Amino acid sequence: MWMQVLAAAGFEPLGAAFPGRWKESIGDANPEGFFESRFRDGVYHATNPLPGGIYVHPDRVRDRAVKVFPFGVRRSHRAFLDRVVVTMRPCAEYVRSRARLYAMESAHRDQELGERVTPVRYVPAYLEWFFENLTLLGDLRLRRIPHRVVTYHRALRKPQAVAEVIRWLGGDADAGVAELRAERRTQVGGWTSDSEVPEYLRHLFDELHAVHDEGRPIGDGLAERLRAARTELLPAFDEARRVQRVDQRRWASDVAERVRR
Amino acid sequence: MIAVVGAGPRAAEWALATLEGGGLPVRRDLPDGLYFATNPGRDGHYLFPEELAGIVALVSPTGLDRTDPAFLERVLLVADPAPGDGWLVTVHDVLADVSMRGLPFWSVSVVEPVLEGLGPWLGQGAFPMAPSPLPTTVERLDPVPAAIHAALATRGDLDDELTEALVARADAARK
Repeated sequence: MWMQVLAAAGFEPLGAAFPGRWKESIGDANPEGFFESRFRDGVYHATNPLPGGIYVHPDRVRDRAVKVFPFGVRRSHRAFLDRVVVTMRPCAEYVRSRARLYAMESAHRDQELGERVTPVRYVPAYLEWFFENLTLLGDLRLRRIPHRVVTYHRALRKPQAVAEVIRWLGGDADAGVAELRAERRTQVGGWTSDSEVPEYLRHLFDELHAVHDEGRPIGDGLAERLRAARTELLPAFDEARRVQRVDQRRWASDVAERVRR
Repeated sequence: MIAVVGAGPRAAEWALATLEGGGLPVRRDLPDGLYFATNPGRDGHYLFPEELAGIVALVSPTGLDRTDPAFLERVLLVADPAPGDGWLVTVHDVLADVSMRGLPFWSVSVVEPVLEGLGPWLGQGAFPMAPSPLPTTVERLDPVPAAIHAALATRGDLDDELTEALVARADAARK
């Protein structure tokens, strides 16, 4: 949503709406476009220069908007981070969204291959949500990168919050706000009864989202519980990432084998 | 930060000693450059660009390639031509990086140290030292490395022909 808003506000996106064959495979998950590029993993020495050898100079992209994932922001050279707009969804919605996206990807691939390939064992989405948000917010504070946080819900509920961010960026607030369309929401609702997330973590994640949704500071009590949860969940997160890396290689090998047949 | 990159065995330490002797603040603890894996450091302290303004830091060629341009005020390449083409690989990589990223660049040689103009470029006014050149192997160099060295020592341009020769020698040395 933010990429469409920023584009309308006068910041040309870096990255295509539908890279590769995303329109056919997962286009339904985001009909207006994803606007993702290699820079989603950060703008730094491993992604810039581009594969053709072209270097994207920071001075030439000051008025461009680029979508970067939370870990990518941490990797990004500060020379490129003039300002950061942070958006956040409730963890429960993120979990649903990931499940839907992965299912669409998998179904499309199976359809193309004409047979089923065992899907990748991705990092559990709730762990991803927690560590991505914690890392992002911590990094922006540590490096004192100018930023604003507007949750997805707040943006839809209070367009004025979006307008303020666009003005802070120096863009056309009216044009940007006109792009806000609530009907784009594909995932709504709270935790499902069969969620794998323990109840105390659901409360914690909901609270982390709520303070940002309401524009409140993170108090000492919440900060302490977040630190404790980080310590508790980090081994599981690291192990899940290791499993995902291994399984992605297995998956790529499985697909390649079927393509060769 | 003024990143000093040495091409050749004695280059980096010669340059740091020379610049330190000239009164410039020097750091030797940032060889891997400044990017997400090195900054913040293990103690959690994040170095800001303004903390390193005007400071001379020894950086490896790989470290330079990885360093956030927000920290790179200037890059100084120091050449110590040696037998073999290993030093040319560093020269190639540094020149490729600074030209691609448009970084302010200067070069000197440890065997023909021409320091005129270096002090003002570093923001230090007239440079107070005239260091003795180190023993040289330049006369034993092939014409191409000798010409590249001469260009670096005098801050002359590498023309297209010399640039192509540098790329070819560096590629061959890498293999």
